[in-house]
Amino acid sequence: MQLRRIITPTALGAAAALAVAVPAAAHTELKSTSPAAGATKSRSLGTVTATFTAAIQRGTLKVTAPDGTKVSKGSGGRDPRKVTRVRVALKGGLSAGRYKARWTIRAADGHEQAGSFSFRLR
Amino acid sequence: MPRLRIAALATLAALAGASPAAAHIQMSPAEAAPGDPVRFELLVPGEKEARTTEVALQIPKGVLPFSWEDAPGWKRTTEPATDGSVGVVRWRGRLAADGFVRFSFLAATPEQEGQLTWKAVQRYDDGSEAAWIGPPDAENPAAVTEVSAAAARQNAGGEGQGAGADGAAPSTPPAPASADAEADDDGGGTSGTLGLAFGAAGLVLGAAALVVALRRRPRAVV
Repeated sequence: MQLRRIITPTALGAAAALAVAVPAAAHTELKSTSPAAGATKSRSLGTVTATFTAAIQRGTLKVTAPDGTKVSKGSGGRDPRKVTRVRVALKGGLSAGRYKARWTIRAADGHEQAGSFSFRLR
Repeated sequence: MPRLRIAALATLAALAGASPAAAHIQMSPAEAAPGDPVRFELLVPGEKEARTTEVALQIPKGVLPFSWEDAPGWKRTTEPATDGSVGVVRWRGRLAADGFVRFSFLAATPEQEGQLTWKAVQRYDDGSEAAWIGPPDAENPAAVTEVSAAAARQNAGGEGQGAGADGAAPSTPPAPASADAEADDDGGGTSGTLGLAFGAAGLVLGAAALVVALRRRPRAVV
């Protein structure tokens, strides 16, 4: 009887913790980017990619220069050769500075997400 | 009457020969919406005396499986396609001669309308196999799912666009979070943060429950 008074709330608490924590594990997440976030690359960089932990249905990737102008060709899309990756080609003649890449994806399970990362060119 | 006996045997032989075609591998649903997470189910009947020991299913191009139901007594392996998606899924087990098994999984359908052809090979413990790869009118047809915007959306798994409001209208991905755009250090994704927050909240709840439980604990007991 007394023992149950201890165990029940503890078990309920643990169950609540699990119930709340578990759904996040099923989500597709950003795994890596190229260039890596915070990395410095040559101004001749041609392509930017973002790779996720699982297959995605679709995605976009846009890159902007330090002054805010768009330097990616179009809005990018899922890499035809890799179902977990979005990619976009960059325009030529880029200047040195900090660039920002913004991505959106729809995971295989339909979950829509967005995020960003930045890198430097010199 | 030998003639009658022969006729009877011939009838039996015809029945025995015909029966395998009656029990086809099937895939449901027959119709699905494009770009929708759907629960597919492959129904595999044991269609002869030998026992089914393996079922290999080729995932049609553009279909993205993301979750698999466990079929008790069956082991699942997958082989990747060249683009890293699931190319072939293989289930190994042992089916009763008069049994059937269902293999269920969640997968996103392609965003384009069209026909999905589910080619499957069923192997038996007598070394024989049945290749369900033919056209719909063949003796061993491959199952077909029609991807059509007219089909109801399932949103299996509950993460995508629901069957309500806008129905089959294609969804627009959200704009990047504004907080993220302002931040000096770049975050990964918005959902990762949300998941962490929920997880932390759960942990706090659990700890609080433990504290409450321990404080209530009478000294005399245990």
